[in-house]
Parts: sequence; C-alpha cells; structure tokens
Amino acid sequence: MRLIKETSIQFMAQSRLGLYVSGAVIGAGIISLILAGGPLLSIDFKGGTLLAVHFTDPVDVNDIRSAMSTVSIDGQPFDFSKTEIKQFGSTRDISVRIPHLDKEPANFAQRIIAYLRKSFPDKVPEVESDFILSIEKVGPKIGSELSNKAILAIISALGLILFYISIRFEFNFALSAIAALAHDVFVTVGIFSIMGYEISLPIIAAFLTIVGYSLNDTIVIFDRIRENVKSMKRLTYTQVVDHSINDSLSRTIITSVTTFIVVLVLWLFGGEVINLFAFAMMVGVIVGTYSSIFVACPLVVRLHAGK
Amino acid sequence: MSKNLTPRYIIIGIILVWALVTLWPSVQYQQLSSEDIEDMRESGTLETLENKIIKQGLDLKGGIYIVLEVDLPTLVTTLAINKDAKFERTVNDVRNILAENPQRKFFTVFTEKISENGLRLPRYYDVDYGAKAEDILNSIREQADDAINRVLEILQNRVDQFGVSEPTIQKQGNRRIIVELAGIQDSERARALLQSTAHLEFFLVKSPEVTNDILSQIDKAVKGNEELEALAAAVAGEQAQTEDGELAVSNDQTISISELFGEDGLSSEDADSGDTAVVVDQNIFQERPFSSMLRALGNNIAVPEKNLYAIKKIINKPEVQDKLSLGNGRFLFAPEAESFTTNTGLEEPLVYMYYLEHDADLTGGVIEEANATIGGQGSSAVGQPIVLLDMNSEGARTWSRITGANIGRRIAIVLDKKVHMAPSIRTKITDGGTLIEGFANMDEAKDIAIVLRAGSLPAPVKIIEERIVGPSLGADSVKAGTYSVLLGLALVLVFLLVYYKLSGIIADFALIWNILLVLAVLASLGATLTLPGIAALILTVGMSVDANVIIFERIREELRKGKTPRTAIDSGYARALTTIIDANVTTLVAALVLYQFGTGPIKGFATVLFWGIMISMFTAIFVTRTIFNSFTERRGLNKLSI
Repeated sequence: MRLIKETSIQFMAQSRLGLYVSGAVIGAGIISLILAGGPLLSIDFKGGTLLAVHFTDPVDVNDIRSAMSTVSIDGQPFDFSKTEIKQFGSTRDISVRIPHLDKEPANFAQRIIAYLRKSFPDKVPEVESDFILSIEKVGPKIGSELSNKAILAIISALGLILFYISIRFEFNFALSAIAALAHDVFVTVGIFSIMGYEISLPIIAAFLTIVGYSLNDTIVIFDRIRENVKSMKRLTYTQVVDHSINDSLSRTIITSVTTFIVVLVLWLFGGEVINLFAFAMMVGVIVGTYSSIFVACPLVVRLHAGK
Repeated sequence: MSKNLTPRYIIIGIILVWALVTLWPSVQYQQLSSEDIEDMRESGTLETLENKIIKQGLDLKGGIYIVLEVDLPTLVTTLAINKDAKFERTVNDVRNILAENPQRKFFTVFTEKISENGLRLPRYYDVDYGAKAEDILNSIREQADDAINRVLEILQNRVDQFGVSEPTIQKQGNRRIIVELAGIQDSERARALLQSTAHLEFFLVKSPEVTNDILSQIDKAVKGNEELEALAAAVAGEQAQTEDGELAVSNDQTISISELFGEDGLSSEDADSGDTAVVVDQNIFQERPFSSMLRALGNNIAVPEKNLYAIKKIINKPEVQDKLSLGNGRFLFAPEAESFTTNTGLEEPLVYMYYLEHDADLTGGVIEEANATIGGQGSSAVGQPIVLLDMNSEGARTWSRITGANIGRRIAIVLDKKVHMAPSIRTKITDGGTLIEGFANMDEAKDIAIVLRAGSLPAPVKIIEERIVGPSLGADSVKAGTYSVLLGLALVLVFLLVYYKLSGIIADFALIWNILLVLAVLASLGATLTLPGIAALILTVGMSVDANVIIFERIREELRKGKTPRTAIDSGYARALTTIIDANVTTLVAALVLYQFGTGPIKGFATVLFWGIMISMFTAIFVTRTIFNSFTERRGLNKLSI
C-alpha cells in the first residue's frame, strides 16, 4: 500500500503562506498571553494547594463554591469562593486550587478536605481515603526553584542541540532548526493560553518532548537536503530543498500520523491526569511536522541566499 | 553484510530470553491477589520479588510524596541559650523576610538582621560555638548540616517501624529530605509521623492563683490597648457572623459570658468540677475582653475551638508576651478539641489551655522505651490508649527529684508543644516509669510510641512540598493508561501491517521487541514507572515506528529505482542509518537534559525516553536488519513485500 505517490510540490513557493499562518497563530497567542498577563502557571511554579476530591453523587460547582466561602479553621475564617473550583474529569469529581497563603494553618489541605467532607455529608464516600483523589501542595520556595530549573533545562537543551547540529550539518541549519523549535514552543504556549490551560511540570516535559519530536522531523528533512545538495548539482538551492521535502514527505506523513494516533488515543482515553499532557503532545505533533517544512526549510533557503 | 547470520541470531535470542526472564517476576506479581501478597509479606519472600519487578510510581499506585526541610529559624532558636525578646524578635524578622522572599538564603538574612538589630551573638551561644559572631554562625551551619543526616536516620527508623513496603527516603541537597511512601492510605497519619519532632517535655503547671493573675493582667493589657481590644471584638464579631448570621454581635457576647461564668455551666466526665475554678467572676466582656473568650472546666481552662485563633493571636502580641515573660510562664494547648455539652444542651468543641512554667523541667532525650497499650484497671485511663515510658538512669533520677519536690502540683506532659495531659503528682516516682494519655485512638498512641522510640529530631522539619495521590485516582490512572497504551499500540501494529504488508510484520516485531526490552531494562534498573513514563513509552513507540518507516521508505525508493531487493535493502539501510542516528541523538540530548532537570515524574519520563531511544536505534539497526538479511539470503528472492 502506498498513500503518498511521488510528489513534486513546490513548498518553498508557499513559504509566504506559512509565514502568514504562523504569524496569525503566534499573534493570537501573544494577544491572549498579554490579556491574561502571561502564561497560566500551575502551583508547581507559583506555590499553592491543589485538591481533587471524589463525591458519590454529581455535585454542582456553585454549591462547592458557596461552601468554600465560609471555611473556618480553628475559628479563623477563610473565604475561598474566589479560588479556582472546577470539575475534574467527571461531574462527581471536583478540583480546588488555592494560591499560597502567607500564614497557612498547619495541615491546611487536610483541614479543607475535612471541611468539604463535613459540608456535604450525603454525597461523600464513607472512608476518607476514597474521598481524596489527590492533594498537591507546593511551597513558594520550591515553586520558584522549579521555574528556574525549567527555564535552565529548556535553554541548555536548545544550546546542546544547536551545538550538535552545527557539527553534523552547518550553522545555518542549526539556526533554522532552533528557530523552528522556538516557533513550536511559542505556538503551543499560545494555544495553551488561548484554551486557558495551565502549564505544570508535566507540561514542561511535554514541551521538551515536542522539541525532541519536531527536531527529529526537521533533521530527517535536513539530512535529505545534505544528501541531495551533493547529488543534484544542477538544481537551484530552492529546488533541492523542495525536492528533499518531497522525497521525505511519505515518511513525514506516516510517522506523524502514527504518532498522532497514539497521542490521540492517550488524549481520549488516557484519563484526567494525563489529559493535558496528551493535548500538548497532539498540538506538538501537528506543529512540529508543519514547522519542519514551513519554518525550518524556508529559513535554510533564506540563510543560504544571504551568504 | 556477512553471510553467516547465526551469531547475530544468537545475540538476538539471548537478549530476548534475558528480557523475558527479567520481566517474568513483574508478570507473576500482577497475577497475585492481595491475600497472596499478604502471605508473601509474612513469609518474607515479598521483598525479594518486589526488588525484581517494575515499580509503579506514586501517581499510579497512590501514595505520598513529601519534601521536608530543616526549619533553620527554629533550629537557631533551639540552640540558643539566654534567649531574650530581642533575640526572638530578630529571628521572627528573619522568618518574615524569608516568607516574603523565598529565594533568599537563611544565613545571609540572619547575618544582616544581626548587625541591623545590634544583636551580640556570643551572648546567646555556648562558648563551644566560638567567640566571634562569624565562628558561631559557622558552627551553627555545621550543626544544621549534621542535623539533616540525623533527621534522615531517624525518619528512616520511624518509617521502617510504621510498616510501609518500599519506602524511599533520601537527601536532596544539604537541607532537604524527600520521602516517598507508596500505597499508603492514611496521609494524615503519615504526615504526623514524619513531621513530629517527638520533642517530649515535662513542664510544671502554674497554680490557679497565678493563672488567674496572669489572665487579669492580659485582660488589662488588652483593655488598655485599642488595637488588641478591636481585635478581640472583631474576632468575636466574625464568630457571630460565621456561626449564626441572625445574632447581633453584642447578643452573642452576652450569651457566651453568661454561659462561661455560670458555676456549673459545663459538665465533663473527666474534669472533676473543682474547688479552684479559675475564671468565675461575673464580669462582662468589656471588663475582661480576654478571659471572657475562655471557658472554665473544673480546675482547667479551655478555649472554644472557634475562639482558638483569636486567643492565639492575642497571646502572640508583644504586649502580652512581655507580661508572660515577666511572669516566667507560657501558654500551651491540648492537641485536639473535645466536645462538651453546655447547660443549654449545645455541643461545644473545647481545647484545653494550660499556663505553665516557661522552662521545661525535663526533656525527652531520656526516654529509653515507649510502648502503646490500653490503660488497665485502676489507672486514670481505663480502656483508653496510653503510652508507657521508661527513662534511662539519668532521666529517672531527675524525674524522681521533680516528682518528689512537687507533690500535689500538676505536671504537664508536652509532646511537640502540645499538652497531652497534666496530672497531679501524687507520689515520688523513682523508677523512671510514667505514662501518657490523651490520644484520639490506638493508632495515634502507636505512632507516638514509634516516634518516641526512634528518638526526637535534632531540628524541627517542615513540609515544603507535598503530593498525595489517593488510591482510587491511582487505580483509575493505571487502568486508563494501560488501556490507551494497548489501544494505541494495536492501532499502530495494524497500520504497519496494512501499509507494509510482510515487511510490516518485521516492523511489528521490532515494535513489540522494543517495548519488551524497555520494560525489561526498567525492571532490572529498579526504575519506577510513572504516568509520564507511560507517555514516554508511547513516544518510544513513535520513535521505533519512525526508524522503521525511514528505512522502509528508503528501501521502497531504491526498489523504484529498479534495484534488486537485496541491493535495495543494503543501500536503503546504509542511507537511512545517518538519518536515524542524527534524528535520535538530538532527541537523546533532550532526554538527558530532562533527566538532569528532573524531579520525580519528569525524571521518570526521561529515563524511559532515554532507554526507548537507545533500544529503538539498536533494534532498527541490528535486529530488523538481521531479519531482512535472512530473507535476502534465500536464493531466488526477487520480490520484496514492502
């Protein structure tokens, strides 16, 4: 079976279209980021408490919200009605996110859970451990350390990749590949901002995987260009690049489709915990494939012409 | 390519057998019922098996992940002698600065504040720490580093006695400890066990007259101070609103006052309504703003749970602290509220409050043995969980002196600054034995006995990061994760088969072989499979497919150029090789950086990704190649099913 016959699409002639598409998506992302005041960071980076609890019957988020407006811990009143309270995968599961407070009482998260349990006596499981789905509590110190580490990780990964490609190919290729990667991360962060999804530690892992995947894709095409430049001496550089993309198009599509199928299945059936991770990966597979052809290659052509 | 493929097949065979043998225990483990596991735990064979299987991370199995940090401000205070208000103010300042700027280092801020407040360190520390401030700071720093190692040991000890399978307790950097307890259900109990400093102290309780006196002094201080008065009134007002919106503030106060000062306003089983009731004057709130928030319970004072916050806040005000230090006393509370019935028939949770001598008469380093049991006939806690203590000879001597000199007085047994009980001393105790009561249940008594046996922490620790996954979420995640991996895998296998026909079988084989091998490597490394790890496994599937797709597409291209199957395979492989290596090495770089960056879940992801890439490169280059070659070795092959 063969899906992709031999093609000779002039991709480079379409690179302006690519510029518009990328520009539009990134522009929308930037506007959303400005409106939201930066990316939505999870408690991993900001510190705070995230609770997920399981009720035996469906509950209304608004009921939880009004219950959360008068939490009393040792007589100290708290109003958490303004915090983020939402469904967690199903109508019976609720997650509550509370930003870090300067003077939190001891056992803060557990006290809130006990309070919620008391507030809805008819709808909670008998055993407390069945009620608690998860508790995450990150101190502000850890939070700022993690963001520093994440930034450091991304920069050092990009640096090392730049170095490797410069050695194996040429510096122009390395620059173009890095630009394509930056494009991918920008687009994904922008889409996360538009969708109102928050960026947590696992999502950073997803971003880095996207970087890895997109790079993989770009390198395969670059590898063809490197090979074809030697054998197709009569063609112009643009034609060689087009030819190389067409040569590897079949592989690009098959690999992207199979990977996409896998992350799609993960997104659909993988469960609440992994859902956002899979979403990031899905966006990444599409964007990564696109950017190899419409960002990295036109840049290589342009940088080559500029020489 | 060498014509003799036998050695290659032998290598492939050996690896396959190794992978299956390595994975066998994990398969076996999956088949076990929970009773089987319990049996094996009893016979001691479980641990051997558990060491050989792929461990499931906390997110899959449920459990607790806690990062503890040594509380340096408290450590510095604990080590100091001759503490005064100035010293405590300085430490408090440091605490506040650190709360606002979590990035700053404790010792830098402490040094700054010392010079700012003109604190003379040598006044507060033993000469052993050095004569100059610098030397003292250095020795404190050393003490802190040393403390973390002892904390680690003690926590290890406690967790071992708690009985969790495969606990992980490790040091991170100089001041932190990471504890992972998989499969634990009762998170609150585990936290208490870890965080308890197990600091046992014995304080003499001040006489009712003295207590009465300090209460009226505080009343005066609050009354004369607009800010404090406002605070008391505001808190009382807030209470009224939260408790009962209908009641006007002043009304609520009058009610509580009449309840409070009625002679037998409250009844209780274990507090004998006594002769020396402390606060019984018929005063109104305006006159006694502080004590009107309290309740008298026999010869004890108690705080309604809803007033606890306000009371603690007032006690911590400098004006009140000054009064307390003049009287050389301190207030401490019981660990939990108890429910009492008021004369109006309402249930009210009350927390006992004690006024104690400021300094402890005996501290818990002297405990030799601690056991939880049920209080027997004749004891004050019949049928209640208690902890029996045995002291060493030095402790027994001190204990005997204290009890001998203070017959008739009450002594508070204080664990981690919470008063568990305050019995009256009846006779001199010479053998160092004593008992603690006042536990919510037997589990709590057992845990306290564990922490007392394991010894007290040299420095208090606080939880700075905590992740708890309930068992049901873990189980759901495993189910969903496994299901989606298998489904995704099946789809890819079918796709490859349809698309590449017979060669698709080779690709399918490579894919399954890859996953088996990655799992086997994980099992033999003792690595932990987390949810992100499953995600990485899926990515590995993608990488493995990609390597085969690159090769197959190249072979197809070569075939289209009219080459024979054999030369097509040879040149296809040769040309695909550099692509595969370049593409994989760059992803490998990302995986390594992730590993370096990694905390828990991300590290798990990076580990799986790293091995996935390595193995998929090996598979594509060595294993599938061998299989292809054995096809082309056959004479007369002139058509390749690809």
